[in-house]
Amino acid sequence: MILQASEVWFAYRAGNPVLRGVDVDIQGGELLFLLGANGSGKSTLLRCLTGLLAPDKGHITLDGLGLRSLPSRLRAQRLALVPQTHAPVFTYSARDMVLMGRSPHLKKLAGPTRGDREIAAWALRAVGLEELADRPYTALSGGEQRLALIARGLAQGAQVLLMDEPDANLDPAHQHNVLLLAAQLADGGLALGVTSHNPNNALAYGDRAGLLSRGSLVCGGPHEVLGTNDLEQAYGVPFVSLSGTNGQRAVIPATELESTTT
Amino acid sequence: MTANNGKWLILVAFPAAIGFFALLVGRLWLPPGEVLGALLGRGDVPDLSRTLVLGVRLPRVLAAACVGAGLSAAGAAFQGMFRNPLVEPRILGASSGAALGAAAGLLAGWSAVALQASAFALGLAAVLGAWMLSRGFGSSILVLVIAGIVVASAFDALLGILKYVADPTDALPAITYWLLGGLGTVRWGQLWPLLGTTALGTAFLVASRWRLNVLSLDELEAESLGLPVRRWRMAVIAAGTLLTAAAVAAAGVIGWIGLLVPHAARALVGPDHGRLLPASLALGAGLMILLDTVARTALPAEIPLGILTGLVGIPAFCFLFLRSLEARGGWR
Repeated sequence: MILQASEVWFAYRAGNPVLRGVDVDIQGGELLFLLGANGSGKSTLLRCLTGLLAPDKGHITLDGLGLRSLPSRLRAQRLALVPQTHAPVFTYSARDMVLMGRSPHLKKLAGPTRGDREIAAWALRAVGLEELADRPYTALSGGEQRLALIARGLAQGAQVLLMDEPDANLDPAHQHNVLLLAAQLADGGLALGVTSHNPNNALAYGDRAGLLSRGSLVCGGPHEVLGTNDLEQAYGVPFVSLSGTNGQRAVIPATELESTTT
Repeated sequence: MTANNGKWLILVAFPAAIGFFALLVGRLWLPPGEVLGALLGRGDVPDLSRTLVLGVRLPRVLAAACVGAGLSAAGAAFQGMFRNPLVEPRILGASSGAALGAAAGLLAGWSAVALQASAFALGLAAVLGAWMLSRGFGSSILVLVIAGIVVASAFDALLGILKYVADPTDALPAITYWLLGGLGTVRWGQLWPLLGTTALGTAFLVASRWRLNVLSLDELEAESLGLPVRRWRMAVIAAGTLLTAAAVAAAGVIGWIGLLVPHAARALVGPDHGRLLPASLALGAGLMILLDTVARTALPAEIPLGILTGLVGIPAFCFLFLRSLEARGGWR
């Protein structure tokens, strides 16, 4: 399955476009990171790619079919959004949250069947949450909630998973858990698009990366598009490159290496 | 699993048992055998008992069950859809509209059935007005609630005008008494439309149970799960409004039930609407039959039902509220 956007323009207010002709594609078997500063249009792009916002110009296709012309049920069977976590008002169990992923497969006015419940149980196992299935979703930790939402996307049967900052507000170990799972799912053949604030996560886990700056997106291998100059342009602060013993590269804002006390 | 089945058995038996008990009691106590005989249509039942059971008490018990079940189901659905456990079914103005319709009917001296019809129609009209108003401003949940408050206030003001011009010796007390709520005048003629509307509305909401779960998530999230949120919202509002307008048209303004019962049901069976709605129906029906029985038997004169639901509802709600605050951060 391939999700492809070409020449996408979007503006919330006329004359002030957030996206200026963005081209991007996400293919099965690949994990694409979308990076950019606050307000650079990451979330807007993700919403366009999910089909929740209609681009002003350009078009987005899913396997050649226009995303916005696809009935919402059919779209949701192929493409899932893993939102940033939030506290739902009511204390649904983790199992029920995951089961809601079966919504686009249900018949009109019907509830989930035994088959739907089995798929939800499989999805919970796939992310390693089967032990916590009957806990209230609201009682799970931030990392576990994120895993539950990924499980919901899997239960949806989606071939494309779009994740809104799955690494936000997580400690390094939990970021690793979630992003490792994302990388494994991509290795298993799914197409994953992930927004993030952390270039190092893209360098460590991403097959490709896209850097959004002033409404334009540059896509390529993580190491090609996330050079220190590109990052400085996108984020407005200088970056320094660090190398691990195995040659793995990481970046850090130069401000963090400078002593501010002297 | 057996504990679960037992819970459901109790939930179903609750309104049935209270309903049967309600047929026994009144100014004249009837033996259970006679009531059963009258219900089954046996010939050996005295005429007076038959008339009391079938002609007076049964329609009243069924009306109370419909009002309680309808308000509770509408409350549960609205709380889920508005993602707010403090929502009452009258939030969109249904009950203000119905009150105005009934007051107009009382002022004009219409028959009970015509009065019920006018209350029902204006209840629907009020919510339709709120919906149309909200559409001009993007029809988000917040705008919808504000539009509901605006329309309800407008109808309340119109009701004030009617009360002001009403004859203080007969029409004004009639309006005031009607607004306090009660089922004292219900006969089969008013019961049928109420039964039909309640069956229709609750059947639709129960069938939508799974959609209500998804609707109670964030709007974009629900859209991303393939749910056409606007269309479902409109359908749930339509069903909840039918139920509320029908209940208020039959029984007057009954507060608290639509807020309290879904809370109690959530505490018993959890937030999944597949369980919450049936539990709310059973609890609401049983509680309302119980309160109506108290209303007509506790004192020589009938106690207005709206007063009783308030007296019982407020402490019960405080109890549930504190309990759920204590138990966890979220609402159960």
